Amino acid sequence: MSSTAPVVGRALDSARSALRESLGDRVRSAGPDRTEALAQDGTPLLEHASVMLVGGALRVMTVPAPRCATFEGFLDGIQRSSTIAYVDGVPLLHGTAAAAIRERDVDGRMSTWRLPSVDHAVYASRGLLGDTTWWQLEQILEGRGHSVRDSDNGLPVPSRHPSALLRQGLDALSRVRNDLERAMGDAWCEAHPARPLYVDGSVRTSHAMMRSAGAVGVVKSHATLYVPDDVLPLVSALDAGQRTSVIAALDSSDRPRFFTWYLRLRSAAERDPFFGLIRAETGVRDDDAATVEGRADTISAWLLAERSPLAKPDARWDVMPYAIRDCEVYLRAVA
Amino acid sequence: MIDTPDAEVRRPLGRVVATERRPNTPHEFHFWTALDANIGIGTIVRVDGSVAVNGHLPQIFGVVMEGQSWTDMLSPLDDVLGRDGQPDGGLMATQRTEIRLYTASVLRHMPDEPLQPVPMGSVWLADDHDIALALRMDGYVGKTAIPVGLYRSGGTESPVYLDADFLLGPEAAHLNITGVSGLATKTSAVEWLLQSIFAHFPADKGSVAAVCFNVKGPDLLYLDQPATLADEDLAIYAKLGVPAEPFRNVRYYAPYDAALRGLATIRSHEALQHNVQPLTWGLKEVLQYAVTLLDREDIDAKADALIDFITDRVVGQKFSDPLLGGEMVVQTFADLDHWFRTLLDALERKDAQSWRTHHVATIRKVRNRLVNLATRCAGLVTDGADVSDLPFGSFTDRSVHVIDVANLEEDAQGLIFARVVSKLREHLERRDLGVNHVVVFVDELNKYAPSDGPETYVRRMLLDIAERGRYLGMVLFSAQQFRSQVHKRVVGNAGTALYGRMDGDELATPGYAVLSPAVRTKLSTLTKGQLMVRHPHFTQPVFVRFPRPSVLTGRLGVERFPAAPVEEFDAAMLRRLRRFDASLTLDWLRTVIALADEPDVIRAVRATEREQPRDAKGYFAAQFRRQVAPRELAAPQPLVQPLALPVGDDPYGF
Repeated sequence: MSSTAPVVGRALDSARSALRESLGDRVRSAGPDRTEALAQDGTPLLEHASVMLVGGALRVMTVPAPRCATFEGFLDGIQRSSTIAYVDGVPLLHGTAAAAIRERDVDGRMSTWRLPSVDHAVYASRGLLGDTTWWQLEQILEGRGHSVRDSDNGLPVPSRHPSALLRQGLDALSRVRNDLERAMGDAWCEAHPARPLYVDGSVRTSHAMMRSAGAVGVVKSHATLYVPDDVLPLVSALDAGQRTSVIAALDSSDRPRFFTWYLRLRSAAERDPFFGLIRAETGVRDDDAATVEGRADTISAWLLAERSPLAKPDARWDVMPYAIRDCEVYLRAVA
Repeated sequence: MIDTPDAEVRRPLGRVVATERRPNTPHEFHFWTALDANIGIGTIVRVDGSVAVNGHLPQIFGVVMEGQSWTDMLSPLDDVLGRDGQPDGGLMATQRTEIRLYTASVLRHMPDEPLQPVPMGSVWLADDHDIALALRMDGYVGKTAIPVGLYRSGGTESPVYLDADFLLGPEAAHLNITGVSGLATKTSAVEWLLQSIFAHFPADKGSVAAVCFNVKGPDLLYLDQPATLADEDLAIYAKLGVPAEPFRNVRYYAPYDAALRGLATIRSHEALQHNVQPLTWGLKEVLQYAVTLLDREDIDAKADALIDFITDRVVGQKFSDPLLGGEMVVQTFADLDHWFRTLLDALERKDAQSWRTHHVATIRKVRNRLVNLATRCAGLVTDGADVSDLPFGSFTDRSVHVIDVANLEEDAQGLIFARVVSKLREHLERRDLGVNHVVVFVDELNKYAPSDGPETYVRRMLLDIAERGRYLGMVLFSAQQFRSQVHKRVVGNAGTALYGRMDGDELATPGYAVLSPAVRTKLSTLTKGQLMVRHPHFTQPVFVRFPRPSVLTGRLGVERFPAAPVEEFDAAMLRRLRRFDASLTLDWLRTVIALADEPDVIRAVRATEREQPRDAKGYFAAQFRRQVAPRELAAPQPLVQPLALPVGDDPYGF
């Protein structure tokens, strides 16, 4: 195998060159291989969200150069899990979820805002185990300091397949993590309604964060697209420091629920289309289009200011600010 | 003397950490601190364990020996990318997470047993009380403590004490100091330490004096002159309880220069002559140590036997031998020369080849070598019988005796060293030196006790002090630039070692391999007044700061008290005499010595210096009266007798 790999590599290079010769600029290098990450392994790709393009069309806008770091808080969460046993073929998943806000001082040094939220629990399908076994489990595990949670979430069990059950347990764990993150973000917004808070992920699940003037959600993955197919090449072609115009995500009543836009943090030349691409989210206010775009420019400049230092060695360094990596490292250390 | 811990609530400095790759041991531990922690190499810390062992929460004291810092950056390239390739480029929104990880060597476990690896726990900056415990000073503070300096770190300023029993004996003894020249470390440290010893040496341990050999420049020549000290230095003196004043009881000794016009010392300013006295020895004093001046390969067993015979049977006593024709008394080199000449003439007359088993060739050889000593050490060895020496037998407590050998030839230096040390030892053995302990300070051990080179008498003497001196109360304080090039047994026997700023090449020698790279780096960058101290009670080296000595430095001393210029013979002799009678004038002196030769004048001046009479003027003049006593003139006599008297009135006499 190893002796053939260079041969294959050379053949691929040759094929790429030939494609460029024939198709010109339509051919773009993929850069370092991120095939599996971009394929959103295991994550369902959603249909396009219901959106409205503010201003009537998607435009490319250059963001003003950042002058200083503005975000004062960075919210992130982690989860960790391991299967501790199978009872009657039903997996018992031990899960840890945690969330924290790391506060940044004027010198750029990080410290923890308040206390981190950490949750440890054992997740299992109560429906499959039955009430008697469940009660025994609670007796045994809670007596040793472990709370037990039902991963069924009140829904019928789809399958006894262990993988399906593990997926179900992980989903339950993710919900706990999201709850911890939301609670942490709400507490920040309540304490500091206007202090800029970088939220790693969406803010749309929190009313407090949606109302806050300072909370900004940053989504790094793009399983759900917020632009129609026909303008997707425009997003792919964004250069470093450019953003799209603001997109309003609509609720079931077709009213704007939150504003979002795409921002390219780093040049994607010779890279895949999503390299350095993030999507920002903020709450909706009664502003006109110009004000909305102005605020998007301001927030985008804040986000561009977070490009340095690099968040390496995290694989998502192209879209992750160092402060969020700091928050993750902190949570892994304490949770 | 040890302050109790203050009640102020303080915050820990750091936390102990250990990993599989970097475990803690009973002798070493690691801890991290905040980035702004006031800590550095040499800082003493305390670890509070949280798990009781045998009912006691362990406390461990350590001294920081190494420090490291790093960030979570995997590759330097990450920073290049983050700053767009520009060192001053890029907006660095967040400071990278950075660790300050220190490694400390354990100074002390409390309790001492069981000896376990240092536990996880909080790390605290040591306070006065902790430092006393850490350095095991709690056993002797208030009893035999001699302040050596102030430990300073993180706002802590604690006295550090040496144990007199381990500095001046009898438990251990001797001190060695090493450091590059010119940074006011070695001499200053010894001056400071002597002051500290004089101030704190406990009365129940007896009396102490110091004998210092000034081997170069004016370093030790102004110990009785006050220095102007900065407030910071005065504060250290006050904190350590040492008076910031010069030595009160100092005597200086120096041989005459080769021309015998004055003493061979830079301390020749008229205002400083009250405690300067000549160092001159006669035949009796020198002969016993003549071996130091003689080439061992030249003096064989036969010659040695003759020298012993002369020393034991001839010098300083009436000696008679049929061959010599009568009784002779040999007191001076001149007498000895006369004795040899008489003996050899007699042997020649008898055509004899030996006398009392000594071959005539051996006699000639020994005569040549011994009589030559007065020439080789002119100024120190007198041809006559006048002797001026250290007050062996009447040393006083807290007195300092400085022997200036800086301007002497190596032969004379060796002779002085050998005789002074031998005499000190003899008197200490007999317990009649006048003091119980004497500190002998010798600088330039690289010259006097090198690790290689030929065996010398001086090196043997230094080794002898280092190995056996502490039993007698003779303590060697030695100094050199390169410790690695000093005889191992000399430095190895020094219970206490001080290190000033060190040369990089010296630090690269194997003797310093036990020190961490950080400590070696600190040693190479020490500032004036900083020392690293090793002492039997301290399990690890400790850094201290000592004040500038409260005595005038050599450089300032020379500026303030410039050496007297080289004078005409008459003026030089007058200056020596005016120490005893300031009214003497050059005209008077010239009148008195008008008819005398220079050696006679020198002899008379020396006699006056030796006797120090109340009437120096009369005493000096009397030296010449005996030689040039006035005589009554007889009636004038015709120089030529006439051949015949005139007869009658015949004018022609015929």
